[in-house]
Amino acid sequence: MRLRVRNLFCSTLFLVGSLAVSSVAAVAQSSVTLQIGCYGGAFTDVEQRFVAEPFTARTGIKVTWINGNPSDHLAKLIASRGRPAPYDIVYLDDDIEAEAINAGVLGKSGAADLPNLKFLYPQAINKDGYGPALNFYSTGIVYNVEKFKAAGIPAPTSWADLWNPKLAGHVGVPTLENTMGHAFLVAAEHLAGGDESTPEKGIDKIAQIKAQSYPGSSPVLDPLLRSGDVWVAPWLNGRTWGLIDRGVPLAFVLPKEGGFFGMTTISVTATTPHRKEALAFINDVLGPLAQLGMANQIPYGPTNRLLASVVAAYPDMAKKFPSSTEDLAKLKLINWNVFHQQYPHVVDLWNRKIASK
Amino acid sequence: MSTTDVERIERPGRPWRADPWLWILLPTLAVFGLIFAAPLVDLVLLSFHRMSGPAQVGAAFTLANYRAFVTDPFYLAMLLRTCGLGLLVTLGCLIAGYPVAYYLARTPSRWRGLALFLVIAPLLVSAIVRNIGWFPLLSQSGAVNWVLLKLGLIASPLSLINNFTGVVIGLIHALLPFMILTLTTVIQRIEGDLEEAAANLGAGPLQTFWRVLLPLSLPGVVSGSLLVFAMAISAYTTPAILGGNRVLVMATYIAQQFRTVLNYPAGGTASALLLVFAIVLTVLALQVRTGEERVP
Amino acid sequence: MIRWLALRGTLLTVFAFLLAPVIIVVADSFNGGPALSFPPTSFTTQWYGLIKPSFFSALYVSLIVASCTALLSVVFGLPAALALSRGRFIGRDAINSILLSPLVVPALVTGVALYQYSLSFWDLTHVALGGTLIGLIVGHLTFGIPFGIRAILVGHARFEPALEEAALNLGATPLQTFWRVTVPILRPSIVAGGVFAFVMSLDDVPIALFMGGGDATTLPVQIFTTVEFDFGGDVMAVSALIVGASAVLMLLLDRLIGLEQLFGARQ
Repeated sequence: MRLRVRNLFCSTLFLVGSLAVSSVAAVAQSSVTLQIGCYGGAFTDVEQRFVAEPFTARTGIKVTWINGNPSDHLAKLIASRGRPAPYDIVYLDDDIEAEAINAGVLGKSGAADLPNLKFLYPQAINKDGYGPALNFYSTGIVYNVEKFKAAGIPAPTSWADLWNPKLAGHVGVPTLENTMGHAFLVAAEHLAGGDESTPEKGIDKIAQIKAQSYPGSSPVLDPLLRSGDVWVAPWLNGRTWGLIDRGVPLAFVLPKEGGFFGMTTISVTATTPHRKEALAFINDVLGPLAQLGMANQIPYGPTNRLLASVVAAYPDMAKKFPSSTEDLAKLKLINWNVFHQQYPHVVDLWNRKIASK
Repeated sequence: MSTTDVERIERPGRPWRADPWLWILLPTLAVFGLIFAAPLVDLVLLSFHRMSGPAQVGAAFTLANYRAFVTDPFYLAMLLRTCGLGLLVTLGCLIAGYPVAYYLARTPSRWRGLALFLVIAPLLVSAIVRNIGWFPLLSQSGAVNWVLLKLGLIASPLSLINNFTGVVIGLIHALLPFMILTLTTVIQRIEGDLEEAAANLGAGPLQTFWRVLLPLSLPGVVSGSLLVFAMAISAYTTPAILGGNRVLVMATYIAQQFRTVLNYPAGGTASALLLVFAIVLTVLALQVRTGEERVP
Repeated sequence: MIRWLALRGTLLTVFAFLLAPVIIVVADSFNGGPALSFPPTSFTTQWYGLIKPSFFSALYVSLIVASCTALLSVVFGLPAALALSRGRFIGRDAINSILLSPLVVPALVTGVALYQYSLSFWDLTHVALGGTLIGLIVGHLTFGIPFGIRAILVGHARFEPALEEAALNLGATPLQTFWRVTVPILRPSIVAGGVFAFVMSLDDVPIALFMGGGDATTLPVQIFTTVEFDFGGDVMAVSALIVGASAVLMLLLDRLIGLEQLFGARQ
């Protein structure tokens, strides 16, 4: 059943896509090449297929992908201040976008520049007019259904369940190098009665967990979940569903305190010489074709409101990501500016209390 | 010195002259200065400033970073842990690598080429894939524990990964090829007749090793050890992945500061201290002499 | 007899240890079930067909960069190694240590430093090194040259000057002596140095992340960024393919040149 729906969906997508491409009457020419900082892997592949190729066919503007971690992109942008930026467009996690805005390396892109902006959910639009979000994902709890049943532990419903002594030695706690790590710290801060401005409470709380491992990134948590060494961890909806679809006995839940928003933003850089072309590209990224492609392939939740009814028609796909206004209401936003102000201090605390024990 | 310098002409009455070999060294030194020394010095100079934002520094010159590092027992413990890891890994590589190097240097077998390839093969697998490839082997439900449990040698699974043990295993594995190839080159240059002669004179295999092979190969042993030690203390991917981010060594700290925190002064301070420490250690190690042979 | 067994036993153990992850990766590339599941569930070759073309272009880039790095490392490493072992100048040991030092610096630091430096370089010359093959090669030479120097220094340890003296006495010029006596004797260590530099270049992620990008994307960077999103059998297949291709290459070299020749005859 799942396969048939997926096939139907893919063929619809393909049809729409080829219509888009074949609707080009004359092939446009352009000497511009856009340098785009992106993540690589499946993410860049999807953007290449659903945005870059139709875009190039329509406008003649070529695209070069420079793949890496968003922190590396940020570092390069900051280093190049006062010189031509290495990118025209850059994809950044929302928390890194906050740092980038503070560092002054991003350009603004308001409703006048991006026609598709008005179709986005309000949470996806940056208040100060900087780059909007192109997808939503959530940080929640992944747990191994079989291991929990065998140990007689009820399914987790709250962040506090990770501190269950029965889970000692089987918890994976993500470090601060990644999104789920940040989200989990904020969750711990709230559990300890504080918020983003009191990270010490969060760190002390996390230090109480007897973890199996502190994975720094998804590729490291992945095999731990597969092998069953880790039974429960804060993780992202997309990766979890990737493993579930592969047959690993996992489940993903949003705890009752609320899961956390994750967003990927796309921005034009401050010193790009190709601002007009870059904005045209970004507009395409926010358009329905690219958004559906991402939802189907990765899966990420679309930020374009127009797709809500389409996505709702495919419940098997829709359950994998935040896809409706109700879903979005269950997620919490993090105040990144407050979070980042203390970041070096927080990492130092983590090193002392958690990393070297 | 045992190696005579053929091109040098003795000139009595001239106490100092520029060694002609210095000119041969110059091009390499120049390239090295340009592509490594200059960029690194540039970056390390940032350690004399305060962090003013991600990847940014303030203007004022300060020694505060160094003072903070050197007076903090937490950081000193980290340095100690790094050295301990380096020593353990080097020792492991020596013990595991010497027999293999001896075999590769001495065997007349026509499979020698294949064996050499097998030594390098692990390095051909990308580091992250290689490290993740250890999980099915070392995890609690992995192959090693499965075998040991089946054989009844242990009662409950050993914790071989996501800790210091995992890091040691992973680093020894990654650096063993370097030790083996270095030692092979050295042992090859030692005439096999010497061992035969010792055996003929009544020495057992252990004695031959201890009194003939080891002293003659010592410069190579020290050289290979320096190489492995240097790489062990600068490794950060393996300790991060196989150590479960529980093993905080200098390199993982430096990587963290440069990559996620974007605190260049802190990262630069730690890098500079690590560098100085390693250079001093290397200079000391190079003083080792056995008989007339100097360490290369 | 016991000695023979002990040696064979040790060898087998060490080789098993060295090859364990490689075997896992190769076995996993044929695994029909989810990657890294032990024991493997079914056999399939589908992953090899699913390797994206971007991996192959990245491999091509990697091979070019690695070959150039290996060659230049040896070209710059040989004179330096000779000078360090034969010269008698002040600060020789210090220079020796400094030339080894890039291996002590985490590659990430070198990557960041080089990127910042390439920007200053752009200020001066308006030539961009980032995102170019030359930039990658320059970056990889930072550890390639130390490897080259180290390997040749070790091989020089018991060098017999008598052979060079004999050649000179027989009328050869210093250059001829160099090419026909010195280099052949040092060949095993020159090859070893080149191999180290080649393999490390093929393996490097951080420097290539900062200095590369776009068309100058190397295979390990491609694998690294792919794995961030999904750990599929195709990554295992690519890795297994590299090992397999290298094995074939080595076999060919052995047939044609004889690896014995390359790595030097035993005594």
